[in-house]
Amino acid sequence: MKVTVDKISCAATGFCARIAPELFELSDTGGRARAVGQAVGPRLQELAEEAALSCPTGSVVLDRGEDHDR
Amino acid sequence: MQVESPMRDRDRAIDIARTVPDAPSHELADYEDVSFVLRSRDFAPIRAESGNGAQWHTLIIRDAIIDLAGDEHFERRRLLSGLFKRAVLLQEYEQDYLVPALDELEVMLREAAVGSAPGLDLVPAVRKLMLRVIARLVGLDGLDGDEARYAAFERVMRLVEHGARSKFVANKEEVVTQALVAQAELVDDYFRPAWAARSATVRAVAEGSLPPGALKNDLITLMVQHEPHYRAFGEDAVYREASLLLIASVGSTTNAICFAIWDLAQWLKRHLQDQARRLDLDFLRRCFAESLRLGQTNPILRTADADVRLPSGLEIAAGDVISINRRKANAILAADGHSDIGDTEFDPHRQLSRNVAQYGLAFGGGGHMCIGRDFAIGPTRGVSDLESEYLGVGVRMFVRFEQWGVEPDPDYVPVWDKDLTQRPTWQTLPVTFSALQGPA
Repeated sequence: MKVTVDKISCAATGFCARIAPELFELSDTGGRARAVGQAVGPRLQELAEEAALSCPTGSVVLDRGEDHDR
Repeated sequence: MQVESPMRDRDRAIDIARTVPDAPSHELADYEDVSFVLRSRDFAPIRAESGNGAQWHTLIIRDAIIDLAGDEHFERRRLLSGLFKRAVLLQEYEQDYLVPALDELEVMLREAAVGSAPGLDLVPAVRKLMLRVIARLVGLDGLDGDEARYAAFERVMRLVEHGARSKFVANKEEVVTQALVAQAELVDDYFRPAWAARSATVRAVAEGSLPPGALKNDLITLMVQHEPHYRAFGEDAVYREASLLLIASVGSTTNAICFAIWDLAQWLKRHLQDQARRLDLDFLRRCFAESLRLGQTNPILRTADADVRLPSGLEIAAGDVISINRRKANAILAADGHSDIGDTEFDPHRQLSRNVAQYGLAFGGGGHMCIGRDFAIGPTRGVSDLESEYLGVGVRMFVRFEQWGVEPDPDYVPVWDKDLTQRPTWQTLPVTFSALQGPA
């Protein structure tokens, strides 16, 4: 699984970083999120999925080989 | 100012609401300002003590997700997100429920067609489909096949919806008082039996007498499983959360479908070359989004928690109320900010030059962006298979009606419901379906 953050739609809510601080960090300016490395190991996949589902703007994108899978 | 629980002490809550003064308010339509406010943590959903009508409509939805801010909002959003997993929405609500309900409607319409295209009033038909699918998402039982029970539910819901939109009416106290009575009826007749049934299932699963698969993916099951979270907000928070989910989705989606059908019909009269694209899913999704951008007129209200200077230079003081004029902001957005008036013409080929969704601010923005967006319009990319993929209930119905050759009655002139909401709300939309003449 790979995880990325859509920088354009990210509203800097910080939800993803609160749910999965191992996977996301917030920029110092503006607070937008970015993924800390793209690959997500099996241990963190559930958190990545929760972060994607909880992102209010749908900006956390998971890629498991199917582009519609979130 | 602490307002009493309207469920337990309605008279006291109304007495307090009468005394709340209005805080200074500012209307915003500039996209940069609007975007700033929606993303900023210095603005929270309007509070009852801010006045400007909020002391009334918050009696219906207080402590529901739309009313929370900061950590409380984060925790609630995280919890409720579990309801909106795409695979579950697709299977349980679209494929297992909405698609068969639309199939049934199609059969009924074909049977009714005798030598001419069948027709109906789209508003009550869509409202019924929406109320039933949302009742299922909430977890309210017994609304399928029992017309009398559905009619009673529809009447109660109409009153609760009016109360939640009381910010638009002059007689707020009267509308909200009626809504609170109706909300109590909703709780007694529909919510409590469902809560008892779900509680028993959750207990049985915990004890091992039922398999985990017995748990339904609905709001009441989720709230039973997280009862301590909700009880921290008071005994009635669960009722208001359920009310919100019903209120926020049924009217807006019904309205959006009617707007999309109307807008596309008018467009096709002037752009005959697009007739061939009428069954093109990508085109229809663009139409739905474009129509949403133009049709959302109810303002988003926020209270400032700090003194803030907006990008335009406007100074906002702590405690002031912001009213975001979505219709104007969306129109200016389409005109790329080059016009104060903006572009209010429906154009499904429109390319918004800013990096924003084509539906503009229809679902709000920032941390409070509508949690039901995917439920209504599905994913914004990556869907190509009309029959099996997840479209969202609003888009699914719109696409199906277009497949049926929906045409607004040529003699019908839309009448906006300005009495209650001062927003364009479809009260009726007579249509015919030209593709449904005879058996499938």
